[in-house]
Amino acid sequence: MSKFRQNKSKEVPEVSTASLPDIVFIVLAFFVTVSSMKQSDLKVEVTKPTGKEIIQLDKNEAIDYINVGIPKNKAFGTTARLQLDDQIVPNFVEIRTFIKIKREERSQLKSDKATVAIIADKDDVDMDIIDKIENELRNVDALRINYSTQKESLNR
Amino acid sequence: MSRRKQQGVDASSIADIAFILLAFIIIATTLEKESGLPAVLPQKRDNPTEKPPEINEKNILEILINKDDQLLIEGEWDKELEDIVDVVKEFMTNPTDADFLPRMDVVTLDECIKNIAILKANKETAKGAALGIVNDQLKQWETKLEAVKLVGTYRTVNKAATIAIQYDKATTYGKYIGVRDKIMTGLNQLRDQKAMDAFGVTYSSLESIRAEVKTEEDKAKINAIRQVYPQKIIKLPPKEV
Repeated sequence: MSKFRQNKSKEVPEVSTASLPDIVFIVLAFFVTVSSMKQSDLKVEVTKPTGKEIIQLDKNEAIDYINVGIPKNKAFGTTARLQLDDQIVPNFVEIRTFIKIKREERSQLKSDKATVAIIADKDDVDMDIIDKIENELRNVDALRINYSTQKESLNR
Repeated sequence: MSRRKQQGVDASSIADIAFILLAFIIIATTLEKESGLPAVLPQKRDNPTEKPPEINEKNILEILINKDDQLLIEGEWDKELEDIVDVVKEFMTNPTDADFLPRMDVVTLDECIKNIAILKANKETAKGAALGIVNDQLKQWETKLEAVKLVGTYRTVNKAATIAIQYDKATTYGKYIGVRDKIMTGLNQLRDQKAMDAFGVTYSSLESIRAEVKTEEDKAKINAIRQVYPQKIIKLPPKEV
């Protein structure tokens, strides 16, 4: 009988928080695996053009980025330049090697089907540059491209 | 009470540490998806001396942007970006069967079935290059059949009709994208209308369904609408304008 009395006098036991760190770590691990780090730092100044008819690319699709704009570091000059990965490259032919390297990296993974996103400044980049980029892409048969565009703000 | 039980390290703060880490990772990673205007570049032609196919003037909608970013649409200057929307819609539908606009084709179920039957018969006898052509055509008619089954008999612009963007080397990229965007606005308005009539939902709402929950049926609907109003935009090689 005494056992029962003892139990009654006790307060409701608190929920153990010992497993909380584990839960948080699992969430943490989930985020680390699922999210991708911000793609390479921009070394060129880019203000994306705006548009209304924007389509979001499939998340599972591989994307290669080509950035074009005026270099932030004035040592690279004051005209629009190309940035592939982390580097500002001297000429357009580099695109071929860039695409080939990216394809090799992906060859073990899922399909090597990839889209090339052209991230270019709307005012400082002229069509001559875009043409040269697209020509190089055609040379290596990377035909699916995406003109990176920002959603037009509604207050116009 | 001489022997005290060894006290464990207080673990309650580990949760906090983990939370801070979690917060950092969430902020540092961008889940922002890449978005923009998709396009497919034309394949590089193996034989550049090969003559491009004859083009009928009325099958081309020419939009020109000069070096000062001014627009010329079908020979008329002083056009605004907004004007493109209506011009594209007129070009893609040719509502009055006008002579100066591209010819429209009407695709019916009977026609699809008939052509597929003929092509399948041809396939038996075709060899080599001819077989490739037959296969291509068969594929085209099969996509048309899929579309007809979903939207019924439809009227579409003939295969040769193309929207061509001509620009100068000095044309800014922003303006070019502006033009492309407006062309898509025109197309998407037509597509929305068609999807509304056929399925009771807009094309854009079909398209914005997240990839993970998009069903085969949704994809088929999207393809059918695209078949009716195809996106055919080409860039002409730059010239001085």
